[in-house]
Amino acid sequence: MLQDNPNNSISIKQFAFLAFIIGIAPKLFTLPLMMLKTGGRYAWLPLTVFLAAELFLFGIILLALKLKPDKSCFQIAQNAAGSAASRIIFGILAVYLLLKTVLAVSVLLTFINADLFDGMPAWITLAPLILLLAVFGAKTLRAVGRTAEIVLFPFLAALCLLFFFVGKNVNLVRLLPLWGDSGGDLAGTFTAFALFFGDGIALFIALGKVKSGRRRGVKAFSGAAVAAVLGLVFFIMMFSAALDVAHITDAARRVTPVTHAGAGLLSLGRFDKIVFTVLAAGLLLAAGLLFHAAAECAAYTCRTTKKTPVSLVLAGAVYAIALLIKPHRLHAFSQSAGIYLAAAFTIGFPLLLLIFALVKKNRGKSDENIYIQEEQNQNI
Amino acid sequence: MVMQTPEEILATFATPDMVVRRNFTAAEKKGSLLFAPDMVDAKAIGQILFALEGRNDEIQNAESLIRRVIYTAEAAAETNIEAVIAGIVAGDCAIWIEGLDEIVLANVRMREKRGVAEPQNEAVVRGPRDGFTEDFKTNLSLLQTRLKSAQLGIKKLKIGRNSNTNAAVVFLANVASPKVVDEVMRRLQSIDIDAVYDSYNLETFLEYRPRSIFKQVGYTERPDSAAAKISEGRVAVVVEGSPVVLTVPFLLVEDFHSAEDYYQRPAYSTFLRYLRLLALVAAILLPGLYVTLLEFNYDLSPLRFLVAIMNATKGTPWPPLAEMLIVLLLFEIIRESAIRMPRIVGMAMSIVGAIVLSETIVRAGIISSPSILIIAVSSIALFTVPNHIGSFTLLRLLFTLAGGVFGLYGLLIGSVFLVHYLAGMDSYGTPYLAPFAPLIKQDLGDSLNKRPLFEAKKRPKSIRNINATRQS
Repeated sequence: MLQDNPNNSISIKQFAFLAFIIGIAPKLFTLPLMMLKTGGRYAWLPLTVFLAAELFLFGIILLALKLKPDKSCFQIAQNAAGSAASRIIFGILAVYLLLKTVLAVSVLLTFINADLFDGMPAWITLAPLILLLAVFGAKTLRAVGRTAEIVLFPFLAALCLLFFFVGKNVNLVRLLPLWGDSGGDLAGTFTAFALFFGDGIALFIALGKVKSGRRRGVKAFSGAAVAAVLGLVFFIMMFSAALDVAHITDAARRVTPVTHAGAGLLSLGRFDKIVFTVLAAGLLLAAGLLFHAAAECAAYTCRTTKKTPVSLVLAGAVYAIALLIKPHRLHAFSQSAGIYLAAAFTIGFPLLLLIFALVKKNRGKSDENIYIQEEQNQNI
Repeated sequence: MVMQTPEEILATFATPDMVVRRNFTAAEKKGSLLFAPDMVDAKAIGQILFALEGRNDEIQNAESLIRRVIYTAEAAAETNIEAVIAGIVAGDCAIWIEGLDEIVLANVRMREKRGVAEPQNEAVVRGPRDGFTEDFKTNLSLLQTRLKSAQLGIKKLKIGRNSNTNAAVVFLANVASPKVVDEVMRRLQSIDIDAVYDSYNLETFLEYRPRSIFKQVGYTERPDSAAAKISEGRVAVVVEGSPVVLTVPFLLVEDFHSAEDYYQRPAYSTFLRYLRLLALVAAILLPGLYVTLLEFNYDLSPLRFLVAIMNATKGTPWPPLAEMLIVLLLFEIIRESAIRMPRIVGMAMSIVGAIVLSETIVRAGIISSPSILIIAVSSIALFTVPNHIGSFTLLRLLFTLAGGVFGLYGLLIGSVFLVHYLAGMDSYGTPYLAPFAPLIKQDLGDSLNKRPLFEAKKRPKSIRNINATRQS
């Protein structure tokens, strides 16, 4: 029977698009104003560090991809550390990815409740979102990659409009490092927001599934790099623009008023909300990819190929966590433990994966040497 | 095997009267003609009888009978009794002669068929005017006329235990992927059903997700469209009794194309295709957006527009979602009744529904005029892609509900779900959303864009084929 493409691979273009969307979409909503509120004039410092760490993480994923182009992350880990250890590692990673999914969901819900749709009980509001996540978890990475290709174009168009709206309000005189009328807590910003970065960790799930092509690494890295640069520019623009509207930074939860003020077209309606709704499609995709990666890890840990029940269970878990843990508690948790978790998973896990890939690479080489030596002996 | 006598053959029929038996003597041997009188050409029967009665030289076997007596183009010797019965019910004449081991089946079929005419659903201003008919042979000949190549493969089979419907899988052997041809054949051969009346009956058997609201098999009534699709590497399925030819693999973007696109300037065709896409998006989302606007996000609309809407909706008794659903269902009822009724009454019905009813209902203050306007615009837009009316009507309803219950958030979730669902679909190894997801640059030239034919050097990459070069 002619099956759907059984290797479930994605193209390098799709990989780059995913890297771009997951790199920028989760940061466009509440994060800039929250960071500004906490970090004040120094907010750009942790921001730069976090974005650099994201690029580092992505670089390591690409390096692992180069070393082991045909092996999935599960195979790499299993070959190097054994079945039991790799299952434990990916079980822990699944929990972390679920936590990241919950964070993405909370960002989305904050935007929805603040700007689009309030007054409905959370258990109803969350239900369709959780269903969508379950679908993302049950489907293939290829479907996620193709979705990214379709979502990218409206997302880019909305991003351009957003930059235009915000850019109109940017006061160049106040751009870093010239502005000096807003102080903040630098250390607090580092600890509070670390967990909001490093969503690109979900991309390790693409290892072994990216179709080969010319200059694969450059193409893939360009997606993440463009996202990081645009993210930096957007944050700085927001920092500069939002300083003019102190009451908005006090609320620090609504991002649309800044863009609305930037757009300035009051008689034409809240066009900015439509722009952010389109951008939220990117955020949904990012949440979907995180959840998909979590489902893959959980399925590997449970040694099952039935992804639908695994996705449903995990979706139920996200639903329960998102309902039971209030956003401010989640935020408090991310402030206290986020930096350690982020450090362990955003830096630690990719490094571990790279070491696994190298170990296997060396083993592979030594096996090859033994084989060559045996062959030479036979010839003699 | 031991050949049965005419009595035994006739006994297998539920009503033996439906088969006429004419006895004759040829070369001093007794024989019988068996045929279904309503299915055969009486003149041809008379000629065969005349030829048989006139034989004096010995008939040694069925082969010599065919060579020397039967002059019809198609005749064959059969030993299988089931094949003989199938031939008789299909309109063949069975010739039994005492002492011969085989029965000869001669094709004397004749049935009424309509002429080749322009298909109403795919009419063009410029371009060929012929269309497929219900006649199997006519349809195959229309394809063969356009693809006069020794590489044109036609694999015939019969489907349906009782209907014995002829079907043919048509492809270009030097273009189409053998895997796709084999898969189509495998799926058709595995069908064990009592009867097939139309190509639609086979559609779901050819689909990977038959329960989906989206069709995954292309269809056309135009031989030029079918031939063009076969030339791109697709496989066509022609079914007896159906003027609609099926083609696989199928891409969603195919339904944004019309036959006319290939007979007018590429720039204009491109414009029309984008217009269809825009119309379709509007058709699906407009009612949902309108409900969202009134229920949750009135600040989205410009102030003057909002004032106009508020004035128009003032005093209506229904919440926006209920009002929109009522108008939607009302429209569907009017459409359904207009289609089912006799054409002249249907036209009158449409006028009553569209003008009198809407005018009255608005004047009575039961429904607001913007709701009627939105559904009218959405419905007109929906018909720009007529092959997807059913699925997009359902989607429009779902998006209206999503917008009415969850506002913009509902529309967002619905849109991402829809894209993700479609992105996961494949048809015979071809991504359903190709050439957009995955993005295939080479195929963009005949997607929403329409490039001139001389630029189409390669066949679509998204359709599996074994010969990529279309022109050098």
